[in-house]
Amino acid sequence: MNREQAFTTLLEQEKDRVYSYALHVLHHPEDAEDVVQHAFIQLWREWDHIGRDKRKRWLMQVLHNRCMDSIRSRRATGARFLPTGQGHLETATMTVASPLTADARLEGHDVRKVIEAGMETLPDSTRSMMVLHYFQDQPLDGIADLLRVPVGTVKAALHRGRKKLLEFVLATCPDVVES
Amino acid sequence: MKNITCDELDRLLQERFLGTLNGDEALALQAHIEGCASCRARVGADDAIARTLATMPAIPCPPHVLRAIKAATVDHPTPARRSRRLPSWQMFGWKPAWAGMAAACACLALFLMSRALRHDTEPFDIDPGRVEATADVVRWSIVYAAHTLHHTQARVLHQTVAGDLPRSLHSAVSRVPILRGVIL
Repeated sequence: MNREQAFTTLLEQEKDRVYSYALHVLHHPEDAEDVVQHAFIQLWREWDHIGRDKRKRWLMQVLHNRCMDSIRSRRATGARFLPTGQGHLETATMTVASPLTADARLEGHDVRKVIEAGMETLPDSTRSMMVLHYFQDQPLDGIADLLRVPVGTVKAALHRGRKKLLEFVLATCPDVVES
Repeated sequence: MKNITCDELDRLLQERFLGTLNGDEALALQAHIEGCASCRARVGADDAIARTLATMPAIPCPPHVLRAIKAATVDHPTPARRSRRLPSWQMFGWKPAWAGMAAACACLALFLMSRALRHDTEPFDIDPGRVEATADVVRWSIVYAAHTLHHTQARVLHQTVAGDLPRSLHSAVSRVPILRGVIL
């Protein structure tokens, strides 16, 4: 398999996962598209210098760094994220068959939407860890390795994030437990 | 079996999340939530969140992003870089090199000017045409360096000569009106 074929295969395998991560962390479709493009293009440029088994991890590292850069530059320029309920994530997920939507709807609340709104209230680093752990099924040591932080930090951040999310959900729709 | 209180719930939920909850604690947690409505609601919500998070589908990458990536990569392949390390003279590209050269010109011109105007007490017998020409060199070097480095002229001056402007040079420069406007 030559370089082009190998890159195309990896692109097809990872595109949705990578885009989901960027969108969940940035909450801004245009920014997410930008960082995904840059990360893949950077991977293509460095392709020959990265070991075959390290390319996915390298891609996620670059993506994460670019996401953090994007957040920082948005803060520096005073640009604001799209407020909750503007439909950026809902629109994106609308096209995907959603097995939970029907049974998780509670008196006008959709658990998924509430959780997405709650995720937006988390600190950036905690949110990225939550996304990696829950959406991307990354183990704790994998997240620690990717973000270059101790495993204990990941555990603590996930615990804090989950607790904060729980409080947000309970405050927003207390009847979530009924689902 | 140990009895637990509501205050211990968060710790036990964390243990459960990490998979480090032992058998006794699991039983104690179960017994507690059966008898405590608020903790039952909390654990139920925690489970619902974890379930929802785990089953959220991946968001498909828009096709135009994919097309753009392919257009910039596999559709227009570029040769791989041969070496990651650049020679030191290429490390910072050409722009700083030109700016540095311009700054060096400015320094040299100021140095020559200071030599020409070294003796403050002597009559001012230097050729005004030469002073003006030198001043032009200084001025345009600074303008060019500032433009290339995207700095202000004042910052370029500060970084190159003005920070350490010798007193004799300072007084010499201050005596030439055309330079006073540019530098001081």
